[in-house]
Amino acid sequence: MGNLNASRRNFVKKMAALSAMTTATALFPGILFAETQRNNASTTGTLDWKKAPCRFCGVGCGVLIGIENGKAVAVKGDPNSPVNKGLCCVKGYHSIIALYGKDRLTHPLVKKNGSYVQTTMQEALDLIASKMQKTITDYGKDAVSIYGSGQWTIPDGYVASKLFKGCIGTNNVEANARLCMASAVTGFLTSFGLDEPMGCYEDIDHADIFVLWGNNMAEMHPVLFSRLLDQRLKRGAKIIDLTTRTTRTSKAADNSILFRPQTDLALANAICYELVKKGWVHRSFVEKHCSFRKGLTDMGYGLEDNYQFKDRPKKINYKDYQQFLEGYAPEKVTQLTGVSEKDIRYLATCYGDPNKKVMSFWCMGMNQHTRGTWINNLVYNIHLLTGKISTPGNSPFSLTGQPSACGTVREVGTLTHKLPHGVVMNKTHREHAAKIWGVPVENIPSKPTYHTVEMFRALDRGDIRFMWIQVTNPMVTMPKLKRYRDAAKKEQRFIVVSDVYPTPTTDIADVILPSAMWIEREGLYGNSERRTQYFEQMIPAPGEAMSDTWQMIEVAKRMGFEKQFSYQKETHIEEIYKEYTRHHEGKKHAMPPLSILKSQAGAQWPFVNGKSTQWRFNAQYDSACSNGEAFHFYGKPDGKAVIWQRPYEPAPEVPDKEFDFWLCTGRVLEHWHTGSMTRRIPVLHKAMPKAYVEVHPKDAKRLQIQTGDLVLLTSRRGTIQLPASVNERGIPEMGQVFVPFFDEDMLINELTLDAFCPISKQPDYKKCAVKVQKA
Amino acid sequence: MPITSYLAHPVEGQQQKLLEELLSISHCEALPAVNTELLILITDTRNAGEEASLKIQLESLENLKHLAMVAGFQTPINS
Ligand code: SF4
Repeated sequence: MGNLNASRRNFVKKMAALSAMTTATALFPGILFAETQRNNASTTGTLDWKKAPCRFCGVGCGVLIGIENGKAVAVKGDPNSPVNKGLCCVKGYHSIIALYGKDRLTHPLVKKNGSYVQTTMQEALDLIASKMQKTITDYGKDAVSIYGSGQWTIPDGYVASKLFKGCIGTNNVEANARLCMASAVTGFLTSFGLDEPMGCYEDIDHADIFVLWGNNMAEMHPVLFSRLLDQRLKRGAKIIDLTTRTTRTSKAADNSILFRPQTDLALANAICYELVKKGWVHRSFVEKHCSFRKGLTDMGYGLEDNYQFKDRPKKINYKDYQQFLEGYAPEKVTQLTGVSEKDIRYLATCYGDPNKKVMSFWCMGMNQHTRGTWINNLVYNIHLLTGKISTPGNSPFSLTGQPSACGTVREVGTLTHKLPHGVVMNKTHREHAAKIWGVPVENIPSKPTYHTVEMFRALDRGDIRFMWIQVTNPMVTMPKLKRYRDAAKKEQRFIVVSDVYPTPTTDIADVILPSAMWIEREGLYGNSERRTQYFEQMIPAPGEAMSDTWQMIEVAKRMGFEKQFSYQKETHIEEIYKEYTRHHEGKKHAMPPLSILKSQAGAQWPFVNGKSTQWRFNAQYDSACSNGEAFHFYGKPDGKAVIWQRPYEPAPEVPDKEFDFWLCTGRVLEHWHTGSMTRRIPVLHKAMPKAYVEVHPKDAKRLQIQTGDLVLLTSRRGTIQLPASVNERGIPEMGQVFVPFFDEDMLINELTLDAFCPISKQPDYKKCAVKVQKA
Repeated sequence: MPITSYLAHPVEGQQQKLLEELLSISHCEALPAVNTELLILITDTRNAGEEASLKIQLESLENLKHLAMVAGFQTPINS
């Protein structure tokens, strides 16, 4: 037996070596290993390798999963995937272990007299359908809601939208992507009229300079960061890290520039000031392809219930814009931003040099921002002024956090104002959706209802009485958490939670449904670069666990919508995807057919004439361009992208005498969001077992705090206690602290503020004021 | 019983030194490329704890510039 095991381990090692060699060959064409090494490594395995997009982040790496006897036993990066070219990060390669945690939810649970009782799936689904019906009868359609996520597959989001918007007739559909991507969406819509990046990951292979705006890519997008490092090794590309805190990314970057929280707005304008002043504006590009606008300012932060805001854009000209920039000369903003004049000019040189191709990357730092839409606009301004956009290597690139934040939430449109194609406010868009869904157009209300924060406020007020939560954990992630947890626990509220493990959100549920996870069902995800990827069901789901798609179909049928949900069990994913692609027909957003997605590692929309579109708005690559020019920003009626005049405005809550530190929250490499899956992967849990508060060494000295000491953090909303981390993984600036949010035992969102960007309605998790004391 | 493979990028000019360092660590096997500064690293540990502490040890190597993970195998393959 011992020998047998030893020979098996050797065999597995050979497979591991072979995978690495294949990846090295993809990354370094022509790379050679000694003949003996290759012969030793070559092997034919008995595993059945199947392709899938990774379960975790929005990079969307292609992985190959080794299946043996109905169990997933191995993961490797897919060398055929243009996303990761065979690489894989620590989360991706451990992902299969998350399928086999000891406390998987396998049977439905219904709360009776304060405790959970196991029931059958049929009974649980009957109960959900009848509760939803009764709530509609008693309180109206807008009293029921669904809250999903960017981890919903495309079919999950599609049936949710069809059921709630098309059949029930409420726009109470939201997803946690509101908490991470909404500012990116409104940034795209205001600047270009269409959502999602114009470029793609292949830009990395062409760019000379990468500027990371508040984006700790080394931990959050590790495989893409490996690709950046790779380009530095191969071609001497430069990495510039703009940040409020020293991170692993800062340490690996060529240049790390620290700015004060919220002042990225002023920094971006200062770069534009320099571009104009130095004559680095690409005049002909701007004249042909850009217009100028300004919007309302000083519009508050959404702290009050029922807060409303609608921007009123006004046309301005280049001269007005130039005049506005006068207030952002480097010597004027250096004090505010903490960035030296020299560094501001250096950044402008990087963007302004006509011989350098530049990629900007960002993610939560810019999106979780009370002026999130503005800062997205401002970074686009830099690329538009220099004409560095929509060409290989010149690319403003908004990264996404979740595997299908783009594919499901943004493209299917699982947000209150959205439809799969277009918005509920537009009659033609409603008619288009209603026709495909087979429902009367009057069913789809023309007014959006609640964005995420307001949806939970409505639950608190009693305007919403029924909420179905799928694939997300809002009782860890909502800002100002206590209010929303108390809301969910109120009498006369009915909460359904579909998930794979118990979480603080299942704790507040009236019914818990066990979900099939990732490769236990069939599905599709869409990643940051407009790439849709398909995965088949590879292993059985445990117990009675069922896909979120099928849970909703079952409930829809029980509510009398058999006609609209007449999909067959064996073929429903194919049927749904086919139906969904009808919403996006046309050159601007055509989706790839399923047969293509089954045969390769995804494809990028617009998928036209059998080909992915890598660079949108560039006539050389994008067949939707029709103005006869080199570029066509066809999302806007005049075909021009907008350069926005957006000023610096302060954060709603800044440190003062009593609460004298900034609090920034975020993620860590090892854990996926709230840790409900990755904390059940022993190696990841051991590597990062609990949350902590990072304190600057000088602040720590002053407060007599050492690593491991317990620290009390207090904001106006609550207090929590955490161990200190001084001079370890990340180092915040003086007067700032950082806490990751993955740990349900140390809920940092008890402290955060539910202020949001008035345009995107995305909360700011990066800035509020706290007090720091040794416990 | 994790077996993992990585691409290990040495600090410029230090491929040989890195190879020696890696070979001296238990649970590690390393294969150098012959025409590129890159090594393939295979780690074979008994449990998650051992794997985590090995990761810390690897991160402290002076001649290692960057480690990129490629494949991971979790359980022995059944016959
Ligand atoms: S980078 Fe993201 S998508 Fe790629 S393997 Fe890691 S977690 Fe998965």
